[in-house]
Amino acid sequence: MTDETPHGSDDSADAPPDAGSPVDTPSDAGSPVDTPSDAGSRDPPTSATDRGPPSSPVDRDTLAELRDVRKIYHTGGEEVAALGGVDFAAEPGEFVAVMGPSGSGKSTMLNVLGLLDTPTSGTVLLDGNDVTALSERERTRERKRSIGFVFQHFYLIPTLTAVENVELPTLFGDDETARERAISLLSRVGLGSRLDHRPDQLSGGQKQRVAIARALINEPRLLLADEPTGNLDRATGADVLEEFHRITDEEDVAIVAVTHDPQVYRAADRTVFLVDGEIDPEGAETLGLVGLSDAGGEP
Amino acid sequence: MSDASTDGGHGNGDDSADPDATPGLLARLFRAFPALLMARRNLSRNRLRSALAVLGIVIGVLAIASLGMFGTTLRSGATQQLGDIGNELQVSPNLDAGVETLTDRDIERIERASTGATAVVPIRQDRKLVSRGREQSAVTVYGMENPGDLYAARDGRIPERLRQGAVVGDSLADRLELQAGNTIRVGNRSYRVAAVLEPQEGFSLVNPGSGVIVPPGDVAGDGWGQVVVTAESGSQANATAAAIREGLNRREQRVTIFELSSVTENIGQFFGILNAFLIGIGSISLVVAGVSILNVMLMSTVERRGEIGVLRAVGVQKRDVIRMILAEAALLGTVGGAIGALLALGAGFVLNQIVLSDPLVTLQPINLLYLVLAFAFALVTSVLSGLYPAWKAASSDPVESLRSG
Repeated sequence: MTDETPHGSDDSADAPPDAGSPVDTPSDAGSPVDTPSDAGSRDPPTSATDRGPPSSPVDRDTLAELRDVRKIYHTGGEEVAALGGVDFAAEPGEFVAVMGPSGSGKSTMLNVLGLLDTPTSGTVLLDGNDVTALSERERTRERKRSIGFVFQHFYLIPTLTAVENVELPTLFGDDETARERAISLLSRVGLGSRLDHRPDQLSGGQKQRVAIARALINEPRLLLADEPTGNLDRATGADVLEEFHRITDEEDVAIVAVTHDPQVYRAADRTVFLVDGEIDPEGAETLGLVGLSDAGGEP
Repeated sequence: MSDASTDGGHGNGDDSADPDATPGLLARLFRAFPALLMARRNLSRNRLRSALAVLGIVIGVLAIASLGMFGTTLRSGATQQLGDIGNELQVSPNLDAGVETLTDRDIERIERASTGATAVVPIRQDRKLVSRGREQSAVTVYGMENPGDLYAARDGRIPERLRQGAVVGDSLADRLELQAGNTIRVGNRSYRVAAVLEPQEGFSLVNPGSGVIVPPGDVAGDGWGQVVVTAESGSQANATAAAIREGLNRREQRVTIFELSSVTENIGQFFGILNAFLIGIGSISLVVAGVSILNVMLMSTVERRGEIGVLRAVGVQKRDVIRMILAEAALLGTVGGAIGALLALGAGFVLNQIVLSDPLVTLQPINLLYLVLAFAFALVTSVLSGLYPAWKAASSDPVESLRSG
């Protein structure tokens, strides 16, 4: 945790030796990013995954990317590196799980990716644009435009109905069709008959589906989920994950989910392991998940 | 986990989207002012707390508005008690310019100038010994032609023009045990008492209660020492004073005029200060109410940290969060202010019914101004009290807010 020595990105960018692991390192050397800081220094990633077509040097645009991102907190005169040089990329239509022990920097990574937090150093790219240095206000606008969030505790507003909660991100702004979109989204997640229910009249799984609909209202390209199944029982969690699959497949949205839940790990297209703020290519073994990898609910 | 491969078909079964999404007027209003929607819902979340905050504002507005109206009532009542003193003028020769007495010509010019006056009474005075039998007393003797224009009799009748006989002041009459028809000696002349004056109420420029009034020809001197002019109202007295100045003082400052309305003006100023003081006391209670709103808003924003973090996360700008929380504060202020103003109006009706026996006096413009002022003050106080909580909530880091949830 107190690891503050900057680890070179080359550590994590090295090809994972274990082909059996679902770990996938960022892979987009060929992506048409037009930022000047395009890291030519990085090794061309060589991701060997156990699922999907072994990704050849990328054929799709990278949607969101972290390049050598570090996040250092100062607490009590001590510097704590929550992220120590992370490289990560997500492609459209991809469902990536991020796993790691508590305090490994998963949430920080998600917050940086979701423009809720700014890195101490490194670059954040969204749709090929460098968004690291955006102002608070621009980041907020960008979040509204292209990022959806799903939280462990749902965070629905208890005084608003389901449909109003879904509309929430559009509420402050002139959006004529928001109500229709909210209704159609709720119908798609199976809550068409619960539009005017308040959150306390919904079950946990229904709440999380409302939250997913809320995350999708502005048609984002990237959906970030923090322990999306953390407060749900197994079957309900499976429903939510199924919903995630539908979103990645039908809407071509990338989902990055931080989780402890092996269920999510199995459902994801690939999994990134974080240990002490760095990507650990052998995380699957570390966490004892190797045996589970074949049971994945892959579409 | 094989069940997960049923390919996203789940959940779409009960897909019965209500197409009746025609938004009502209220819905459209809220759509236009989303901050209001959120604010109203948030306030309804903890009704008791919101009600208590509103109660504070109600009390503050009630205090300001009803104390203001109380001041108005006090002033009206006092003015009624003081009576018509504002409508008397005293015209005297300007001693500074060497004018010692007013001539008959001056009197004529004063009478001509006093078109709006109800009475013009020239007076000359002297001190003489008044005696009845063996009792005697040195008193002021007033020479007046028409005392009936200024005074009323309690006994006998004051003749329209006093040519003979005397009118005796009430306290002198008591002292000498006089009544109409008796005879007294004033100086070395004998008079029949024509009337005894009523005791004077309130405040007057010339009070002959302890003196005696005789025909002016019987008082030494050829000029007049002063002229008392009365008018219907204070404003007419003012106009008359201006006309007299215009008529007599154009070439030289012949007369000085003492207006009782300047006294009433001072009294009015006093009540103005009293009113400001009362309203100041009322304002303190409204400031206290503002602090309670500050407290309520701070508490509720702390409780809603996570929600506000979500709002920020899903792309709601800081200023919209600020707007939302200010709308809550403003809503508290508006509701509290309106209730307080209504209650104050009711209190005003009751007060004026009791003190002045005329509840409709409450509806005079100055009171309505107090109501509007109190309401505006409530709104401003509430919004100001909401500023800090709003700023604090909007500026807190969403990451922190979400973590603590």
